[in-house]
Amino acid sequence: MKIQETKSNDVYIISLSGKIDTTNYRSFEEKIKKALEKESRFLIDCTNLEYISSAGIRVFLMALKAINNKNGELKLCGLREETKEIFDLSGFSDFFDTYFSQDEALKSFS
Amino acid sequence: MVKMRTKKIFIINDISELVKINTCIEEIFNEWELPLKNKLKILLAVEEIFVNIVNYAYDDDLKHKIDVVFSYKQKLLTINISDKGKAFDPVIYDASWNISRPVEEKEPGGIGIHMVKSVMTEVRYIRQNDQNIVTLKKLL
Repeated sequence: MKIQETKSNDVYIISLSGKIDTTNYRSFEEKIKKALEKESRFLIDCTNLEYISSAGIRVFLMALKAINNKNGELKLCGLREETKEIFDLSGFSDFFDTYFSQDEALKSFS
Repeated sequence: MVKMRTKKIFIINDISELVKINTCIEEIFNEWELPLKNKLKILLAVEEIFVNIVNYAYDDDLKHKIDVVFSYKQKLLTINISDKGKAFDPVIYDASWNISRPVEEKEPGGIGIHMVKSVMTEVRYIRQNDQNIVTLKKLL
C-alpha cells in the first residue's frame, strides 16, 4: 500500500494505491488521525486502490464518524468496480459522497 | 473423470501469516489457471476468517496452528480452515444489526463475517474433535 497526501485549496487529498488489509491498515489509520488534528475537508482518492478488507473499511468508518463530528466533509473518488463492491457489501456505500474523478469531487466541495 | 486439485498450508495465529495465505491463493489461481474474476473475493473471505481466528480464538499468547486446505473440482473452489481455538460459528453469527445501522451508530464488529457470507457461494461450519472447521465454497 502507498499513501500520498496533497492539498488542493482547503481540501486534504489522500490517494491510496495497492492493497489495504489487516497487515497494513494501521498506517492508513495513523495518517487519517494525524490529518484530522488540522483538517476537516477530506477527499480520498481510490483510483489505484486494488483491494480492501474489513480492516480498511473500519478506517473509513472511523474517519467518517470523526469528520461528521467536526462538521467536516469526506468524499471519495475513483472507486474501482471490485472495491466499490466491497463497500456495498459492508453497507457503507450510501454514507459516502462518491465521484468518478478527483476533479469532479473537488468541484463538489462547497 | 475430472481430477480434483488440492493444496494445503499450515500457518500460525499471527497476522503476519496473512502474506503466506495470500501468496498461496495467488499461486493457486496461477497454477490451476482459475478465472481471475473472483480472486479478490477469495482473498477477502480467507483474510476475514483468518483474522477472526487470530483476534478471538485464543486467550493466550502462544502460537497455534491453523490448517488451510484448498481444493478445486468442476468450477468449485473449496477452502477448509481449521483451528483448535474457542468455538465460533460464523454461519449463525448475525451481523445484520450492524450493517443496516446509520453511520453514527455503526460499530466495527461483524462487518468482516458479513462480507464473507456475502461473497461466497456457501459457508459451512462444524465443530469436530475440539476443532473449528470453516468451509468456504465458491463457484468460479
